[in-house]
Amino acid sequence: MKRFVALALTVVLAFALVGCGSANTGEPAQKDNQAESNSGGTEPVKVAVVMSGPISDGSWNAAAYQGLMEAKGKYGIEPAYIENVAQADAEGAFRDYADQGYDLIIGHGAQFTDPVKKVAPNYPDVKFVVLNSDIAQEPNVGSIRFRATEIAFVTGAVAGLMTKTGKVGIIGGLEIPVITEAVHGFLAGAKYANPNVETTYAYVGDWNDVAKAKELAITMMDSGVDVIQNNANQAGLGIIEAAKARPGVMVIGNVTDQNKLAPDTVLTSGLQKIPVLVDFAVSQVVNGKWEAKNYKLGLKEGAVDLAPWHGFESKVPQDVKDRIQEIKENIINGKLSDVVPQS
Amino acid sequence: MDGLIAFASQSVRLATPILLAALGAIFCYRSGVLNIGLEGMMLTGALMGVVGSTLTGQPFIGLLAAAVAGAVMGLIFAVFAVSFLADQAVVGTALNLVSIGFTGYLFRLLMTGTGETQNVPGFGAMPIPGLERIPILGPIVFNQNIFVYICLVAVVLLQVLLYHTGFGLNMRATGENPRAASAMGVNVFALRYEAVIASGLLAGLGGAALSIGALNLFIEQMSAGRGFIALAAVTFGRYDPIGTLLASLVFGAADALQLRLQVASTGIPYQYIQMLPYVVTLVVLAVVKGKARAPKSTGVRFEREAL
Repeated sequence: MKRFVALALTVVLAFALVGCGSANTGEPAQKDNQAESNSGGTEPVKVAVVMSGPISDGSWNAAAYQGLMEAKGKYGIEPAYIENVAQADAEGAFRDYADQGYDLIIGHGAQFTDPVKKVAPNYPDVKFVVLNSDIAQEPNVGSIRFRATEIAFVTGAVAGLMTKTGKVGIIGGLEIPVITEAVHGFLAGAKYANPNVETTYAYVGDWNDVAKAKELAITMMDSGVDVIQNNANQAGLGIIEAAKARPGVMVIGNVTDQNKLAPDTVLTSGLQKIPVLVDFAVSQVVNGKWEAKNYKLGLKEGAVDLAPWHGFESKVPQDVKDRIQEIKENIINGKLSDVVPQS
Repeated sequence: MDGLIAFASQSVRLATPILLAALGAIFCYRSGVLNIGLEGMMLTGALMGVVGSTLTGQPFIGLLAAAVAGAVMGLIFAVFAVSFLADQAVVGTALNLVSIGFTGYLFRLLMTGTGETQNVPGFGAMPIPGLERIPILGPIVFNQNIFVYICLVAVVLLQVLLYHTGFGLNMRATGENPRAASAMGVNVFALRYEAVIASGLLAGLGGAALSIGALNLFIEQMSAGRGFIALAAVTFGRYDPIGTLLASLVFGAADALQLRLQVASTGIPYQYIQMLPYVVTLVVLAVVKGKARAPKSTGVRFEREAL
């Protein structure tokens, strides 16, 4: 009897474990057949997105889904997507879509760079685009990423102009290139807008350690910092938590508009608009202008921007708003290309 | 002086979740069970703390829910590892993996549907009247959240239990030589069940110390490896409650120091400073021989002999 129970429980546990994995290997069957063809009788362009997580994640993948649906309305494409694709299953997902005759397959995240590199040579007629990557491989692999330093420079300038203590800081998640370049952009922007400002930066060392991010923010505030830029994804919620308890301290959000998390604390956010990247890829392909190269999109293309001030609208002086507007314009027209670090 | 007090107070805050899980680990080690599943138990406790607190609006109910959830995880561990003699390391690892998926799924299901984080009622600092006015020690130890006080009480209780009761003697005997203990009439199975459930309970509280103590929200994988650091703290603390308390404080202080050095822009790569507590652990374990020996039967399965 005991052995039987042991066996049964082991099987249950095994299924529980397998269950975690099997969600990732699902068929890319969530094709949306309601796409209407508006290209005058010709077949609609078929676009598929391969994602590392669920479209319900409220951020990275949700934004890609949103971009795909917007592109469907705008260009009449036939969209499809697959969620929760693990690194090991990515090649298969790309192959499946290529075999099904998709025209454009988007890998949503730099982790899909290698699978795409491997699969693409077998399907020369299919266009592959990896978001957030630098890859370019003739004739059919390209990539698109943000010029993240531009928006980091702008939020740095906001911090430099809004600080009352004369000290600002940025907290990053991990010390990896996309984050360190944003850190440099932020520090450069703060110094540019306010040459007397003192700056500091620090890394949590983890994307999920929200408790440590909070302690890091407390340490920064103790040292006199009163404007903190969040660049730590999930863990960054700890920064906002810490600042909420200190009147006068402001946080600048990251990627999405984080004001609603703490309307009295989040001054603004540096937006990175993933739907704009998806739209760009689709439009280039639909218009026949796409090339196998790395595209970088920034302020000029509307891919990054400053979020609205919300409740701070009346608290931010007009001359600060004017100055920020001027800096944004000068980044767009290239006048600041010497001071804004390259992405 | 204020700077030092802030530093010490932060060290205590950072040490608390680790210490709670580590105290649980002492139970396991001492009874001869290697509990690698602490991380998953913490994560489950962190989620249930938030769930209980949200559903009732009472953080105290969240605390109880976290303790119960952790204990249930301990029970599951014990069923597999103690009754069915499954490899303890494998069961622990399985629990950790299941917890990551399970907590993330449950969180979305119960709390938001979208995975978006919401604030829940949590514990603030609860200064203890009178004691908090003691110079230096007051603000460091007695102006903290409830989990710090739970820790202090638990250290004392565990110390007494382990060295001054029959139960503690049986437990230590079981950890060293379960066969001999069994021959002397100790029910090794029952004892290991109790130890693992107690460790789950404490690890669950450690998770709640993060989600409704240090913060008032849950995010996926927020335990961030503390369950494993707790195991290191026990080893560093020589499998002793007071030693583990000190070890956890060393870890907490090293972490607080690391944060400070980063913000002060010293230019020292933060990874070096983050390594500090572990370097200390290695050195201590290498230099101090003999006494820091692990209980002999940790991780070894115990089967009743066939009659």
